[in-house]
Formats: sequence, structure tokens, C-alpha cells
Amino acid sequence: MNEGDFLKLFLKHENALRVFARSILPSWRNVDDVLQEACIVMWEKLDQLDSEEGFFPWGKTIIRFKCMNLMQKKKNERLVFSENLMNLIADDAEKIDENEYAWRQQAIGSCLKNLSEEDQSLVMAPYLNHGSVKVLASKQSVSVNSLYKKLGRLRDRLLHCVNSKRALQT
Amino acid sequence: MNKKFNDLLHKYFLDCISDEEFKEFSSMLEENPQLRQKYLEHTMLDAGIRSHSNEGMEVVNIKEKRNPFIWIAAVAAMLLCIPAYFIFSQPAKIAVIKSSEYAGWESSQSTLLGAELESGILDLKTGVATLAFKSGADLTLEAPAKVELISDMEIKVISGSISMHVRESAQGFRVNTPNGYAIDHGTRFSVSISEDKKSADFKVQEGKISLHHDSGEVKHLSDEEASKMNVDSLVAIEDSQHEGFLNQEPNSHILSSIGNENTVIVNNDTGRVNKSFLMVKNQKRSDAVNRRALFAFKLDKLDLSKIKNARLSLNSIPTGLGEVVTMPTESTFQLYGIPDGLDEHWEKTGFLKWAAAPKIENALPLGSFKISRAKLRSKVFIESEELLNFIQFDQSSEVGFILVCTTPGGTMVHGFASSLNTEASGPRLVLKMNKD
Repeated sequence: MNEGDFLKLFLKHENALRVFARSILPSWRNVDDVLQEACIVMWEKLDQLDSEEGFFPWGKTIIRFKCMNLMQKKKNERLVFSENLMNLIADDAEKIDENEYAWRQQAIGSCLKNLSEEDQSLVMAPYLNHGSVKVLASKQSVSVNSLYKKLGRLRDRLLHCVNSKRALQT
Repeated sequence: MNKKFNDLLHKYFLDCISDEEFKEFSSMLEENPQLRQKYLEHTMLDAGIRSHSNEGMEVVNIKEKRNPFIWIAAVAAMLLCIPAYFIFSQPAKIAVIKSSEYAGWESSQSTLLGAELESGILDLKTGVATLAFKSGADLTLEAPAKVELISDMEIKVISGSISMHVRESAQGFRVNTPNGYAIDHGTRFSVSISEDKKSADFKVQEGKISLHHDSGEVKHLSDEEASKMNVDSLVAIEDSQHEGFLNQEPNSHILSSIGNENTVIVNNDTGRVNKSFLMVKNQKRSDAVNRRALFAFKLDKLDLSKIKNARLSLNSIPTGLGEVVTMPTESTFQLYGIPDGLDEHWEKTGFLKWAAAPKIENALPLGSFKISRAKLRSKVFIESEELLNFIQFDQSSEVGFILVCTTPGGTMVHGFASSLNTEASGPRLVLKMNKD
């Protein structure tokens, strides 16, 4: 397999691998680090891979290993799960079918459109700039706390919407 | 139970969970597989919202766009093994270092002139520097000052003094301080955090800001006005000259050791000691030219029982003898107190032989300090229980000290200004007394 093929294969599964990593790690920034390292390992050990179908489960194993490695070094930092908990979560996460990730991603997109424009901005705010929620709170002259509570409710609504669509599917 | 878990779950993903809450969250996850399922659903939700918000910012998700230029860039990135998503989602740069005057920083980011900064904490140790935010606000810091850059429209001042010039495009810029925040409405203003980090002084030079105390109190300040944000409230500052005031310290005595200073050297070579310096040396290779400093203060006419605080200050200065590069990065110095009695009878002005000097073995350890070889010009303060007790229980109206270096090093001779030094002042003992 040449680099171009590997690229295509990696990119096809990248999103799902990122979410898998995120469930174990405390932040998205850690996910970037792990994905970068894991990518190098995958490229180097590509001969281990039997078929394209096996890429995702194989990728997850490498990512899981890299996550545990990274967290071992960071174990005294904030928001780091215990090794036991990380293993429990990784075990549960491995059972999730790859299609589930892609499907939910799409469903979230359409569920977001159900929200008002104002609510959409609020929901996206935490991802734009560290501190955006505070800026929004001051613009709307409400307390940051109340905005966070509203955010929680909106997220619950989104999840409910996604889960209902899921139920309709099966 | 579920409502509590839900609460914690949101706090976790919105990055506002406390350490205690996180512990609770973790144990709930460990014990309950159903809660773990919920957690995984939310992880997927978080990822989904995140990628949709990135699309909103025109970041390309390679799977969905087929622009050949981006494809080539992605292949190039792949050969370096950087995930394509990563090259498009760098942490945002919010400010640039615009100017720097003798600035010395402690930061995990590059702080060269022109360096672009992300959110994070910056600590200015020396000098003055100005940052230009992408939004149009300028922030000038005077060392020592520590700020957290939050976004291009928000900072938190943790300690020290800063001044801001906020242009029209950055109106609404927010400055957080220990008890509240200020919103800028187009100004030049300064913020100074008190030494105990519990209050902040705001002074507007030009323009308008609004102060929002955590308690809800709001105050607007315009040209030339100033206000203090305390733990409980906002208090006006009636100092139209914006100079501040120095505290006069009544009831304190400042003593000098002039006339009672000496340096002893192991090989008694008088050519190697100089009255302008109190010299100290601890050489690894051989102790022939090792030195110790001695100095004493007279306490006649002082009521020792009234002393509530004692502080010794010394000025470290380079002697020019020996080589800095042969030294360890940092050297530790130990201060000893000479006990009352025979030990106090040492030669205070003329030449003192090594063997005739008071011995460390009989002396009391009173405190220690470190000096970096990169920062030989610095002020040293020693203030300890042991020092205070040593002075309070003195019976001879004289307190004498021995200063030694406990870190074996190279050829450099450490120096502290003696009272005869023309560049810096000699040892000072400041005693604060209880009021009658």
C-alpha cells in the first residue's frame, strides 16, 4: 500500500478514531497528540494489517495503547480517570460499531438545524474560543452560570433528538 | 441520582467541573455501566457538535470537500504524519508580542518580539512588555506581573500591574480580577492587583469602563477616575494624582553593621580579601581560598522584649573574582548566629585569622537562601523564627552572624556589599517594635 492509499484509509476512519480516543482522554488537545503518534505507528506497522475492513478495530487497539501510555505520564493532572475506569470505558467504547459514529455525526447536524439561530450559536460557543461562553453571557447580560445551565439543557435536547432518530431507524 | 450524574456530565464536557465533582463523576462511572453508556453517547454528541462548529468556521472536513489543493496539502501532511484535521484546527492565536523592554518571561509559549500567542498563562518576571490582541486591544505589563490570556477579548489579571489601551474594534474587552471584572467601553486604563492578591485598583486615564463586582455591584468609571475592587465591594479612590501613598513605618529600627564586618579566608592571604565586600566561597577542588563572612549589629538601648519582627537584608553583588561559568546554576547560603560569650570576641575591623574566627560548630543555624549564578545582583532577605528568637534572647547587646556557602562550586567568589561598598548598601537589620 502506498502513502496515498494509507491516507485515504486513515482519513476514512479518523473521525471515529478521534471520538474513541476522546472517551478515554480528558481533553481534545490530548486527542490530537495521541492521533498524531498513533498515525505514525499505524504507518510503520501497516504490514500487520490483513485487510481494509480490519483497519478500524486495529486502529482502535493502537489508539487505546497510546492513550493509556499518555495518561500514565499525566496521571497526577486534573480530570484524569483511573486506569481501571479508562479500561472499563475503552472496553465499552470498543463495542460501538463504526457506523454508529458517522450516523450520529450526521444526525447531530440535522438536529442542530431544529434549534433557533440563537440556540445554535450558544451550543457552538464552547468550541469556538476558550471563553466564548463568558463573552456571550456579558453580551446578553446574564450570568455565566445560567448560560451553562441552558447549554446543558440544549445538549440534552440534542441527544434526545439523535436518540429518537436512532429508535426510528431500528 | 441520574439528575446529579447529568449535571456532572455537562460540567465535564463544558470544562467547568471542579476536582471534587470530578471524583464523584469518576466513581459514578466506575460503578455503573449504564452511566458509562450515557457518557459514551455524550462523547459522541460532543464530537459531533464540535465538528459542526468547525465547519461553521470554514474548516475543511476532508471527506466532504474535494478541493485538489487541500488534497495535496493533506498528502504532504500525511507524509509527515500530521493528521489532516490537525493542521486545520490549530489552537487560536489571540495576540502578538508588540514590544519588549528588558522583558524576561516565564511561559510555555515563545515570547520573542512578534511571537503569536495562544490562550494560556504568561508571567513577566522583569521589564515591560506590550501585547497587541487581534481584536484591537493593547495590553502593557510591568514586571512582576502574571496574566491569563483567555481570548482576544478577555484576560485575567492574576498579579501585578497592567495597563490597557482598547480601541473601538475591541470595545467590550473584559479584564477579570480576583473579585470581579471590568468591561471596557473604549479607553486607556490600568489595573493593579494588591500584594495579597485580594483586591484590585482600577484607574481610567481616558475613556470609560464599567466595573462588575462578583456581588452584583456595578460602577462606571470615566476619565481620571479610580476605584478599588475589594473582596466585598467597590470603593472609590480619592487620589486625583494617581500616585498612591507609601506607608510610613513607625516603630522600626534600622541597624547597620558598619565597623563590625570581616571576611576570613582559609589560607589567611590578606591580598584576597577586600573591605568593600563580604566574601563567601566554597570551592570543590580545594579549600585553600575558601571564605566566610562575619558581621555584627549593636543592640544598645533597645528593649528586646518589644521586638515583634526582625529582617536581615543583604545585597548580593559580583566580586569579579573567579569565573561564573564554573559555578553550579544555584548556590545555597546558610546564615549562622554567633552565641553570646567568648565567640563574640572576634576582630571586627583589622585582619582576622581563619583559626581565630568563631566556629560554625558553636553557632546557631538561622536561615538560608539561594542565589542564581545568572542573577548575582539581587537583594536577599532573611526573616525567620530562629532569627527573631536569636535577637530577642541576646544578652550581650550584640548580635553577630556568620555567612557560609553550602554548595561546593567552582572558582567564583560570592560577594555581598559591605558597609564600605560604594555601589550598594551593606547588611541591614530592620527591627519592628510593638507599640507601647
